[in-house]
Amino acid sequence: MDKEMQPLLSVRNLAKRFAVKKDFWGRAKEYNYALNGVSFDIFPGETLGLVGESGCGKTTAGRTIMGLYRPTAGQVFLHGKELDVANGPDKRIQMIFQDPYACLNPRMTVGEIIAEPMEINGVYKEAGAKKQRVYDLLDMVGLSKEQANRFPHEFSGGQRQRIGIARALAVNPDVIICDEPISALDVSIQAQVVNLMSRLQKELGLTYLFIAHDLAMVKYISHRVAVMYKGSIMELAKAEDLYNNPMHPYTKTLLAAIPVPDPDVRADIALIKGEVSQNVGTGCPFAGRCPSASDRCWAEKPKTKVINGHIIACHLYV
Amino acid sequence: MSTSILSVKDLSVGFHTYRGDIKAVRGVTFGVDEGEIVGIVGESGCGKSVTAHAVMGLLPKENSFISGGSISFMNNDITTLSEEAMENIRGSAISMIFQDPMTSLNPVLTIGQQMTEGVKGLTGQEAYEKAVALLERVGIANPKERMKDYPHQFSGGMRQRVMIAMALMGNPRLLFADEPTTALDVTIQAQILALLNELRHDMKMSIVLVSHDLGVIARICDRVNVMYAGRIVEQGTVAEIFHNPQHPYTKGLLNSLPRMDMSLDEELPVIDGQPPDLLYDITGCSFVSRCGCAMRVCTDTKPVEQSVSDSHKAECWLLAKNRSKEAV
Repeated sequence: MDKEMQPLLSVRNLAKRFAVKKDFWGRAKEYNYALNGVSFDIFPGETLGLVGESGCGKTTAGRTIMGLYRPTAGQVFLHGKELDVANGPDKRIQMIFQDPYACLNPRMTVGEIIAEPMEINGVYKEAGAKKQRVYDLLDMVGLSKEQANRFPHEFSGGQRQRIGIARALAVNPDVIICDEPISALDVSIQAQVVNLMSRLQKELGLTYLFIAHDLAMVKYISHRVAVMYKGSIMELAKAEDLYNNPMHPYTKTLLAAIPVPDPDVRADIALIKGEVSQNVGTGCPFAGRCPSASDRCWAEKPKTKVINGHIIACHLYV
Repeated sequence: MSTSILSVKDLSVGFHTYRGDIKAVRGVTFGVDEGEIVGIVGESGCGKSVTAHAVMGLLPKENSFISGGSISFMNNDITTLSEEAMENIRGSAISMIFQDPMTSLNPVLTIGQQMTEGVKGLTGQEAYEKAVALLERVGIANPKERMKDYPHQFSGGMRQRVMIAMALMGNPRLLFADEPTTALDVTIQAQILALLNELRHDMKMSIVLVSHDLGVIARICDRVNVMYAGRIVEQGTVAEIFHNPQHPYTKGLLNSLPRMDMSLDEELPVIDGQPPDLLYDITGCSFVSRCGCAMRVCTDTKPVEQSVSDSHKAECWLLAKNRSKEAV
């Protein structure tokens, strides 16, 4: 990405906590920080991959940026202007959801599903133009206009995800947040959907925030990748750099754990011990599982710094 | 490595539905030898889980039927075994672990109660001690304390460890693992796969690993069966399948995974179309509509299994052509 370019979407110190325990009066006694001060930029036409294990806050990040959750702290800027979270979701940010079975209303036809965001946002008031737009969108995602009158249950998982993509495109968004869009699909169908998404990006100049746990797919589709752990970004770098030269110990272990479809790559798998624990102390969130953790890691949360083009939060690098 | 533990011959399984009978498994033949890990890989709906459930005798009685073939376990035919006789084998000689460790444990019983519940021929004390030892073996810290805990007090990875320990209570010779790591994170998945690999050496058991993830299969399996639309379309050793795939479906499946050295400018090779509807009979090859090398014979006649090597077989007419060329 060009250094001079203005970021399209900027996230600054975004935090979101959820109450895990409430007292008798319904007041929160204990919080779980799903997002703990996350900052990143996404540039126009770029795909930023966001990876991490379940519970690391990647979905919360997507939903908070989208405006579905009200952030506890921090700001989201779009085109350099701060988004007012009180207004709820902004139509310039749209979302593709993980489960193609749950995200489409079974009682609406595909045409109605795709037209709904246009109605809500008041674009294409004239019925004929709206209909034409629905047909164009169906064509764009590789479905036919005859299918507009069918119901979601008549479609396979891959086709439903195409419908979800058409719906997200309906109001010409600037940013599309893709929350694990392919993890519910079969391998051969995943490739079809990913190819569609990258084709649409080239044709329409879309910007994606691609949330996933499949590291190989994220590497393929993303220009830059951010690795999250327990609500914080551990490392963010260009996809090539991150995968060829991971710097953060967590990135290293995560990459080593990917099952590679090659039986010769079995040997010497460095296993990471332990599991993600809930307690967020004052130190580095990864200290409990890190092979190179020192006393400092337990005491002090590392600040993010830029080293060799990697944005990294780790005490190992000065 | 040569003693046969499980031999499935020409197994066919169907389900009654309101649309008609779905033929989910259409003549599946495979074997498992002592101490080996055999993988069954395929996409959703290809019949891999149904095959596993059929061998376990866990198919729902009301709407499913085995329409042909035989299953023999340690040289005894278990296809037509009564429910009582099957209960003696299931959970002891053959065990199973399931995909979702969250839902396959009973939430209102402690881990200890569940582990000792189905054990035969041991006193309560012996069963308790065995359960503690196994929990320790699968890597649960403070097993004696954890025996008193309920499933919700364990994380996903820990629950899958408990499931594995529970499956080992009857000293199984054969363990079916149906997508054991699909619900887990990659780092935890790597731990569970390593554990399964250790256990098969320690306990001298065979494992059938059912998965849709080629990476998981490549990591621990010795031999692989690739299933498509209810049939095994290719089988071979893990090296043969991954380094020298013969069936266009296997090739397509391997190609559609993004390689680490790929850039966004290269389009991912895809397998176009959808798998066939298993409600209907398929006259030719089940893959014909999606295959890039389909010939007329493929639509008309079912492909016959062709041997590539002693261990490597594929059901594809392309291989027959090659062979006849060599013969001529």
